[in-house]
Amino acid sequence: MTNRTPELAEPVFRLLSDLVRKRTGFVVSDSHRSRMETRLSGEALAAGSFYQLYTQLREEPTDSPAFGRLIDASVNGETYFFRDPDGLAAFSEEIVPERILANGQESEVAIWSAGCATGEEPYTLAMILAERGILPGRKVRIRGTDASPDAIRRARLATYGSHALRSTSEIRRRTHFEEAGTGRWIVKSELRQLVVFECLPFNLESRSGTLMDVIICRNVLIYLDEEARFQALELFSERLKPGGYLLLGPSDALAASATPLKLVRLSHDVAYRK
Amino acid sequence: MTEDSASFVASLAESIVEADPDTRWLVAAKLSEVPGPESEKVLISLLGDPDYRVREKAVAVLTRRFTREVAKACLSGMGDEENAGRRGASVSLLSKGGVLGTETLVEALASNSPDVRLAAALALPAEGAGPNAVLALERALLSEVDANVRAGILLALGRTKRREAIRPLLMALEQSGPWHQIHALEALGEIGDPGVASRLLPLLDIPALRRATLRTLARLESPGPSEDLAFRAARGETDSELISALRHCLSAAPASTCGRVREIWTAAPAVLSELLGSTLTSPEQKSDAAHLLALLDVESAAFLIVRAGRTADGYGALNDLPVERLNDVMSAALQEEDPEPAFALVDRLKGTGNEGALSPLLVHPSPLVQATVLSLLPAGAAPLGEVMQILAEEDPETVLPAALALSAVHPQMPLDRVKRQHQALLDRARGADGPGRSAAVTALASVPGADVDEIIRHAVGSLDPAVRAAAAGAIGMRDSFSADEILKLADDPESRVRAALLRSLARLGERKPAGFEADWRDVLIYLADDSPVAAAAGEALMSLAGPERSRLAEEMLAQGDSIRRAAIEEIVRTGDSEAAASVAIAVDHEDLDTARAVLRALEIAPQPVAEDAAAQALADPRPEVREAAAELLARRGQPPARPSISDALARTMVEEREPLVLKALLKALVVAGGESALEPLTAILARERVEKEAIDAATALARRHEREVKRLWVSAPARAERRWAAALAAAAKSRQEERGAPS
Repeated sequence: MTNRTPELAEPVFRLLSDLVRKRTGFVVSDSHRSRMETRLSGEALAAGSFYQLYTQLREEPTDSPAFGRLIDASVNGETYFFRDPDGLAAFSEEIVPERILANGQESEVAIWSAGCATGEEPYTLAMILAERGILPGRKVRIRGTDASPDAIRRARLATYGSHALRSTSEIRRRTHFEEAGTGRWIVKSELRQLVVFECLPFNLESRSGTLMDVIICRNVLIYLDEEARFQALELFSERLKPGGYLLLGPSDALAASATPLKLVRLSHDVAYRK
Repeated sequence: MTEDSASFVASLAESIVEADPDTRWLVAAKLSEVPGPESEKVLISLLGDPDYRVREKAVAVLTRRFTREVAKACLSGMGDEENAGRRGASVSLLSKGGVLGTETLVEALASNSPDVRLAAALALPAEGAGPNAVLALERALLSEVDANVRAGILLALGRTKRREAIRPLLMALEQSGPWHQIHALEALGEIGDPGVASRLLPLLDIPALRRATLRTLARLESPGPSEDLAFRAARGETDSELISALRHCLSAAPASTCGRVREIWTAAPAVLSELLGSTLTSPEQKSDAAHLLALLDVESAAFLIVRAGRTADGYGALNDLPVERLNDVMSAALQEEDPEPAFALVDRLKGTGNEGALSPLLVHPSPLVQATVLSLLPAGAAPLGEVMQILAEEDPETVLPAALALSAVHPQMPLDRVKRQHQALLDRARGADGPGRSAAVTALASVPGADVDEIIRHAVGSLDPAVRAAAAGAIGMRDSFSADEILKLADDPESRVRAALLRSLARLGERKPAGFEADWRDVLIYLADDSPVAAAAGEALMSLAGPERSRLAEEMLAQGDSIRRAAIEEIVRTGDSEAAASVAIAVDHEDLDTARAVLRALEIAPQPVAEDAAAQALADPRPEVREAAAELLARRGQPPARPSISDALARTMVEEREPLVLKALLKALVVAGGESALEPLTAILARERVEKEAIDAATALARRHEREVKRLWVSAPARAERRWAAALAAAAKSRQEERGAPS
């Protein structure tokens, strides 16, 4: 028995990254080569080589577990709780109250955190709505989606360490989390129940799915190629209710210039409204 | 020109008069196939087309047939005051027009119009311009009266990257005002000769030039100014430009210089830590501060860098810490939830032979880090208890690396440990379904023994499709399964299991263990199955085809994408050179993956077939195909039988704009490059940053063409000159080592 770690030669890395780009729109940076090599070395060993693994993955559907492993090894979803205070203030103080008024008191407010990585953003949205007194009491549904099955698996576990909580004050930590041992914290169950996670890349989303009041997609579009970015923006535009809001990250602003949505200046942030 | 083609061109010329842009674009494309002055004239007229796509097409076509008349038309087009599109297209074409284009742009520097002169200066020089271009620019600089054009010429001098341009630039530094001095500084940075760094230091005292000077010093990466900059920092000049310049100077400096800088700038730890921790500092400034902390080997630098979070280059600064600080990096990485610092350490130790030092990271909270470390640790380096614990956690991220770690042994490993590892795998593979069982079955695939065969037979009957798929894949590495047994299992309801079984059949067909008999006709029915199964069937069919492989390979070309690609890809693994030759005809196949698969298969084809196909593919309009052709030449690893291959490589390099294709071409040069590649390679070596592949190619060519390189390198641009010199030295050293090596 020996364990020979296969080498991910650059041309094969390119083939794998092209495959990810074609299927999901994600542009895999060169710096991910080493990461991809180590994360997929077991699979490559089982397949015979990285090239043979590529030839197998090429035939796999995008939502298969095997292809999901490739996506996991290709994307980098680094995020943390209470990131972007301005955007959160705009969301909780201006956008959601307006949507509640627009929908009527009894209607549900639908929120989609698109490209939510390991779930910090959708949970933060739930937390901030709880702090504003909107939750519990109103019907709010938060949906988190990401292309990476591993990220969604972790999001569902809702257990985080100090790095994810680096911008979370002690008070918030005590209010929204419970200690999970060894320096880790788990989101309280009443907040966990508010968020539904799905593993789905943008290009597999239905254009005619549930309409949303708010779509938040921060710092994701910059990782997509031009075509996928355009399609994602089209999708967001179609999936918003009339009057619904799209919130993007500052780095996505240029991409958003192509949307048919109207740019609106709020007190705390800018957003796009349908 | 025949009468037919003349009338054809005339009809095309007519058709563009009132045509839509798509038609005009098609006309330009069509004219690329028609030689002669008439079609050239139409193409020249299209340089002024209102649609940019048509202009782009005309430029692309005329680049390949750039004549004196075209150059002349461009010169006049540069002055077309009515049509900005024509002006732009003319300049674009001239800048791609090689020597003739450069000559014409130089001629444009004498135009009466300052706009034309400025456009020419901004487009000059074409890549690889020689000393004559510098002389022409220098002359133009002396006579130029327009301030903007002068600035443009100064920048053009920098873009020549030639040492000859340094003198006029230094003169401009002494004799001009700040506007031109700043441009001259930028140009000196572009040339990148560290030798000029000391000349620039006095300019740091001129407030208007300080920032530009520091930026140039950063680009020169000369250790010389380190101490001067440190004295300034010690006096409180700790702005972002100075920090950046000092970082880049120190990155090229020996440890002794770093030590002196530490003594001069005693407040460095405090200042840099503050910068790193401040929310007001940009990611780029943080990156510079982090690198400086590491280069100066400040106490606890690893902790400071990790705690500060990612900078513009992630945790790249950790790589600047001396080896003795790796324990600090380890401790700091273990204190962080973020896996990135741990990955920075992994990247640093990977491939060094010291991967065993990574084993403490097995307790990192991130399963990604655990999986990565498990896959890198040498056999037996991971504490057994920890590996077994990780396997027991059943985390899909870590189970397979853990199981593979348990299957890894080395001859010196204590027998007791080998047995315990083996037993742990057998126990898990016999246990309940789940990710751990699949992983254990996969890891056992290469472990001999009837007990393992039994486990695999049992696992194939599992209710868990993932376990069945793992067992189906493992069968391909065993010698005790017959084709009949495999085919009986292949009616599994899960397509991934069926695909894995067919791939196993292919593996067995390649190895042909004693007593293994199979007929390719048995897999035919699976060609009509789901896509992954059909592809695996194509693979198996090719593997089992025996003497009929060449014929079947040709027939596979008519199959659907999945089957065709898989079948061609299997050819290399069968080692059948005749079958490889039989698919060469599809080297320009419209399906990209097929064309690439063919080029991979040609690795084992007879040399003339492979070289003809490679030459054809190097001219393919698709960059992926050109890249695959270059890879084919590199992988074959033998000098080409025909010099035309080296010429084709050189030609492709000159025109290649895709960085990844260029990289592949450089790799191909190492084995297949000839004298004709020296000039295009010099142009690449003159760039500010070059890939390792360019250095390897230079060394290989310096070995094979020492005399020609020696003639060339003395007149090469500054950076290329240094790199050719290093390549000659490396080549001489390796020759010496070969001579000294025992026969």
